[in-house]
Amino acid sequence: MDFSLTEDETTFRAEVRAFLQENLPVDIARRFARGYHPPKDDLKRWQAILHRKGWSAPHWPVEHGGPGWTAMQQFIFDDECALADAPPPSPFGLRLVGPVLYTFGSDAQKAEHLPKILSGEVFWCQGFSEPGAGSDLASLVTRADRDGDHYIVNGHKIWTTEAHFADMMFCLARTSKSDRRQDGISFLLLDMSDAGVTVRPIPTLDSGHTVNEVFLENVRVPATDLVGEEGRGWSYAKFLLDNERTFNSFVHRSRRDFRRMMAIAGAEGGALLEDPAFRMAAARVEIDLKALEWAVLRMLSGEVPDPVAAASALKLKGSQIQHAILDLAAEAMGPEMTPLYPDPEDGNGGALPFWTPDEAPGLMAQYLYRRAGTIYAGTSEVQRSIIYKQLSRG
Amino acid sequence: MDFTLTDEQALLRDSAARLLRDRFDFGRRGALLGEGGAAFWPDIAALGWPALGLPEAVGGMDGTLVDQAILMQELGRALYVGPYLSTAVTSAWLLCSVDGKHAESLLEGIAAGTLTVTLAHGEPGGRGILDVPGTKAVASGPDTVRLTGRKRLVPDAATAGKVVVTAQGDGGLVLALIDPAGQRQDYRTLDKGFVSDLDLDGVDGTVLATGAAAEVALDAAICATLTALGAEAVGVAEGALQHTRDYVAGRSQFGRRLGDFQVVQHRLADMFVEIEQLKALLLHALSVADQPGPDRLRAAVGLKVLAGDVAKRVAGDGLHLHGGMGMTEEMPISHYYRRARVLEAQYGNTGYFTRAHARGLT
Ligand SMILES: Cc1cc2nc3c(=O)[nH]c(=O)nc-3n(C[C@H](O)[C@H](O)[C@H](O)COP(=O)(O)OP(=O)(O)OC[C@H]3O[C@@H](n4cnc5c(N)ncnc54)[C@H](O)[C@@H]3O)c2cc1C
Repeated sequence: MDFSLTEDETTFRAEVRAFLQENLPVDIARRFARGYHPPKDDLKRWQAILHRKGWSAPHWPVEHGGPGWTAMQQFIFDDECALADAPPPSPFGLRLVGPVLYTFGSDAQKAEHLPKILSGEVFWCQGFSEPGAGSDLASLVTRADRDGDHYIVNGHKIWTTEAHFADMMFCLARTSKSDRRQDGISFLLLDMSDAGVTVRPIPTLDSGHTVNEVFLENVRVPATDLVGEEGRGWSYAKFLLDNERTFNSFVHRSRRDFRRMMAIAGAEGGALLEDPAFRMAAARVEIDLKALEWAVLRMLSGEVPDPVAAASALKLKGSQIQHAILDLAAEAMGPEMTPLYPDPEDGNGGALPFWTPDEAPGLMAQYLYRRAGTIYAGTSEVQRSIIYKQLSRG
Repeated sequence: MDFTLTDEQALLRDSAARLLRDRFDFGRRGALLGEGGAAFWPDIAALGWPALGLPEAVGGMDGTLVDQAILMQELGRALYVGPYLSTAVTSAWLLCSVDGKHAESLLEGIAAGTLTVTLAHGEPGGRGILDVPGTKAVASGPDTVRLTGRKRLVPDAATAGKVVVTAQGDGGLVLALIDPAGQRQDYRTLDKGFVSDLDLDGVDGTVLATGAAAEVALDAAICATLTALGAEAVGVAEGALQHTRDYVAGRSQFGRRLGDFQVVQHRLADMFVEIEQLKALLLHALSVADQPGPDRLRAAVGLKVLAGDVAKRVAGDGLHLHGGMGMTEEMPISHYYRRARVLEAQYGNTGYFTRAHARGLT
C-alpha cells in the first residue's frame, strides 16, 4: 500500500483549483453555498463551462467524452468542486441514464443523447417511483402498450426530482405481465414535452420545489426509445443503481458542510468554538467524516471485497453524517435557526428580518430537505436489507 | 402524591381536545394560520382559556400550571401556534409576580380575553432566555424609561396589545411596558409561528418592576414558559407517534403493511419509550412549579432539554417512517417535525440548556 498522492495528483489538484477560481461564476457559487436547491439556469451555465473544458463527465470513459481520469482524480475533482461551492451538475443525465445508454443503448440512442447529456443542453429526470411502488419498486404499474412502432405509456410517477427542469425522462414501465414481478418491465426514454405528460409540483417541508408528480396519459414513445431489450428494464435499473457506488455518500458535500458549520460556530466572536462540549461533538463528527472519506477512497480503489454491501454502508453512514453535521450547524445557529428565511437571491421572496445573520438563510432549507437523505435512493431500511442479503450469502 | 387528574382537569383536557379537533383541525390549520397569528384567538378567548392560570382577583379561574400544561399538551397535539404561550403563560406568570396597578389591569385584560401581551427578551445574536439583556433603560420620567436596543424573535408581537421589554437600568434589570407599534418587522418561523424584530431606540416604556423584583418576575416567567413548552412537546410527540402509527397501519409495500415489519414496530416502540420519559419529567417540573427558587429553574431547564430532544427525535423518526410522504407539506407529520424542530431551538436549544443544567451539577 502507498497512501501518498502522486506528484501528478498533487499537480492535478492545483490545476482543478485554479480552473475553479477562474471559471466558476461567483453568483452561482454564492447561491449554491446558501443551501437552497440550485436554479436550473445555474446548473446549465456551470455545466456548459465544464463541458467547454471537457470536464463535465469525469467518470465517463474517454470514448464517450470522459476526460480519462483515474478514480483518484475524480475524487479530487469532486472534492475541489464542493469546496469551491460549485453546484454538482444534475445527476440524472450524467450519473444515472448516461452510463446505461453507453452500456446498453443503441448506436442511434448514443449518438442522439450522449452529446446533449455531456453539454447539459438536455435535462433528464428519473421516473421510477410510483405512489404504490416506493421501497417495493418492482410493484410498479405504469403500463407501456405496444401500438405499431410506438409504445403508449399510461401511469403515475411520483417524487420525480427536477421533472420541472427536465426535457426527457427515463422511466420504468410494464410491457408485459409475468409471474416474477421484476420481469416484463422495460426501460424507456420519454419526451417530457409530449401532450400526455403533466408535471405537478409537490410542496415540501423546506418550502422549496424539487420533487413532482408526473402523470402520463397516452404518452407516445417511439419503439426506438426503448433501451436494450423489452422486458429487461429491471436489470438496467439495477445496473444504474449499482453503477453509482459512492455518489450517495455525499462525502464531498459533507466536507464542505462541515466547514460551513465551523464557520457558523466561529461567527459572533466564536464563543461556541471555544466551548469544550461543542468542540467535542464537532470532533466526533469529524472523525466519522474522515472515516467516510477513506471508505470512499477504498471503494474507488476497487479493494473492497463486497462492493454492493459497501455501497449501501456508504449511503447509510453518509446520510447519518450529513444529518449530524447539519444538526451541529443548527445548534451553532441557536434560536436564529427558527425563522423561515426567504432566499435573499429570490426577488419575490420577501424581506429578511432586520437582524439576519449572514449564514442563516438557506441553512434550514437545506436541513429540512436533507431529512430525505434517509429516504431517497433506497431508504435506510432497504440499504440494511441489501447488506444483510450480502452477509447471508456467507 | 396523587397523579390523577381532578374531574375539572379531565373535563378541560377532553373539551380542549374536542374543540381543537373541531375548530383547529389540520385541514383548517393552514388557512387559519395564513390569516395571521391571532386568527384562532377569539375561540380561545371565548372558552376562557387565557383566564385558566390567573387569580380570581383579576377575573381568572385560579388554576395552576398543571391546568395550563394540560391545555398546552392538547395545543401541541393540534399543532397550534399563536399567542397562548406568550400571553397566558409567559406574560401572565410575569405579571402575576409584579405589584402595582399596571400589572393588575393587564392581567384583567388577559383574563377577559381582550388583550394579548408578549415578552420581548431575546436579542440579535442571543442564545436563549437565560441571557442577560443588553438593551439599556434610562429614566425619563417618574415611572418611565427611555430604551436603547434591539429585540429579536419576539413571539406574537404582531398581534400583541402590549409588550413587556427586558432591559438594564441603573438598578439592574428593568421590566418596561411598551406599545408594539413603532419600528417592528414581522416574519414567520419554520413552524408557521409569528415573530418580530423590534427596534427600541428612543422608545419610552412604563416601568413595571426593577432590580430584585424584576428578577423574581422574570424567573417566574421563564420557569412557566419552559415547563409549558415541555407539556406542549408531549402533545407534539404524541401526535407525531399517532400519525405515524396510523400511517404504517395503512400503507403496504412488499405485500405487507409497513407496521407488520418488526423493524418498524421497534422504531414505534422506541418513540413511545421516549415520550414516557418526557411525560415523567414533566410531572417533576410541575411538582415544583409554584415554589420559586433554584430547584424550580433547574427542573424547568432539565425539562426543556428532554422536551427538545424527544420531540425532535420522535417527529424525525415519524417523518422517516412516512417515506417520501413525510417530506410533503400535505402530511401532518412534516408539520409536527417542523414544530418539534423549532421547539428544540426556541428560547435556547438543547446545548444551551444542557450547559445551564451542567453548571448546577454538584
Ligand atoms: C426528496 C426525494 C427525491 C426523490 N427523487 C426521486 C426521483 O427523482 N425519481 C424516483 O423515481 N424516485 C425518487 N424518490 C423516491 C424514493 O426513491 C422513494 O421515496 C423511496 O424509495 C421510498 O419509497 P416511499 O417513499 O414509497 O416509502 P415507503 O416504501 O412507503 O417506506 C416508508 C417507510 O417504511 C420503511 N419500509 C419500507 N419497507 C420496509 C421493510 N420491508 N422493512 C422495514 N422497513 C420498511 C421505509 O424504510 C420507510 O421508512 C425521491 C424521494 C425523495 C424523498
